[in-house]
Amino acid sequence: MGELAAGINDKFSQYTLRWRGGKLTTTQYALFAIQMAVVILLSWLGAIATPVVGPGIGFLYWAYPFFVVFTLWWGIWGILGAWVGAFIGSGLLTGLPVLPALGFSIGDLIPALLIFLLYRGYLRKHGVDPLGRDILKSKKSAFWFAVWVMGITNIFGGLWGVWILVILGFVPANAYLLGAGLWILGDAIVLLIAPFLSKYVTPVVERFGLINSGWVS
Amino acid sequence: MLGSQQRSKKRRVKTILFSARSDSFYVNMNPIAKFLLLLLLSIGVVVSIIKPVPDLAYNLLVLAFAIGFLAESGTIKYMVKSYLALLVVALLVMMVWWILFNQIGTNPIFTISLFGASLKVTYLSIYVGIGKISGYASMAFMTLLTIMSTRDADIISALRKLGLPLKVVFFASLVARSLNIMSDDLDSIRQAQFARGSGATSNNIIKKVSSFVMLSIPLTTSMIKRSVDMGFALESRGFSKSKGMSGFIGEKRIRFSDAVIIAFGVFMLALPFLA
Repeated sequence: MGELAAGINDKFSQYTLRWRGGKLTTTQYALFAIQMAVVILLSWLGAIATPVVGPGIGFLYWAYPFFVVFTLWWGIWGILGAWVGAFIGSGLLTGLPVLPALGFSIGDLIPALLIFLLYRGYLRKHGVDPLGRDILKSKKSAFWFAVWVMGITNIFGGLWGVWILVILGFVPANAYLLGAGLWILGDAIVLLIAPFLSKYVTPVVERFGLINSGWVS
Repeated sequence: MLGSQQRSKKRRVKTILFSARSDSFYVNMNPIAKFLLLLLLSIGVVVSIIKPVPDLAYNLLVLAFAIGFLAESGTIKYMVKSYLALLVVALLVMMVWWILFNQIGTNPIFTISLFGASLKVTYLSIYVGIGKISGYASMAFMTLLTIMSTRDADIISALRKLGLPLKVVFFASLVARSLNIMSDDLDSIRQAQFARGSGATSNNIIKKVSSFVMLSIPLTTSMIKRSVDMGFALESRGFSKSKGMSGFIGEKRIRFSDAVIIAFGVFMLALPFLA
């Protein structure tokens, strides 16, 4: 049993929380720029092509599962993508003013950061795939995905985002919990895509040698 | 002669979203001045709408400024076609939320009973709601004006002027240019899915989510393919060894008119504090 656990940990040992700030290859450089463009695009679509359920609150934020998986693959670049996607895609490009857009984007940056820290740190050492490929087949992995990704970090994002809207005078303070609830529910629904994306596309990205083993490269 | 004059009048430049008139004052403004103005007016409007009773006149002034320059830059038609319906819905939802959840005022116009609770609609609550939506609309119009009148080359030029390193500026330019490329790819994939009877157009949330799963896989693989191609193309031109960037033809200096616009922004920012 001990050998099995050691084998699982060895399998994932290359994906760590080490900084690895060495030089990026030109392909990685282009890839990280394009993934940011994709997150911006999906964030924009998520904001303009989904039902508006409250002031500044769209229901299905399609970019969310993408930036979660991109963060598991590409570390700090995925986290930056989450931030830029929210600031530009679902912020400026939809007409949301600069200040709320900046405030909003923190609500995507922090969850992405927390997800990366848990998967590449604690969960990797406890036999959970740090790239999330086993969410659909391992109960332990599914549990952590539900609790950490769909639960805690998502709840943080929702509470933060709607709090910013209340502070800036877009949402009445009495409607804070309703707004946050709708936000969290919508994000939890679209996050169901992430395990599929992770399972089916990670092997392709891995085959190209494009997954970061640390934060930067 | 007349024909060539008319053509030059109609000439347009590609901007981050859609296109704008090439001879427009707002399009030719320095991008740093333009973004500074957006920031100053946004802060001004936020200060106006966080008051218990928002400053409606201030919000309408900013809104009029934005609409005026949307017309001047020739982008108002895109605004109407692509965003107006979305904005109207967003503003209506905002108005309803402010009336329902902000029970203020003493003289009710009428009272609604909802799930056993009595909700009163007063002149004051309607005024506050209008103040909120006018503030939101003015900021949205200002942001869209800025986005629809700015070229990606302007942003790159501004980043260079700020003295950022080549790799950072080039990265930003790759992000900006990839937006159009990936948007085309996404559109092709969606069209192919519609042709196969995808449920993306359905109102059923489960169908929408499952169709998005189908979309996500080709989109991600297309992204990987594009970046590998782009990486090879850049490397074959010696990108990793390059030290600098060739000059821009269309670099914009800060002119007197830009300074006037910034001064206007500072004045507008001061107004809600003075009132």
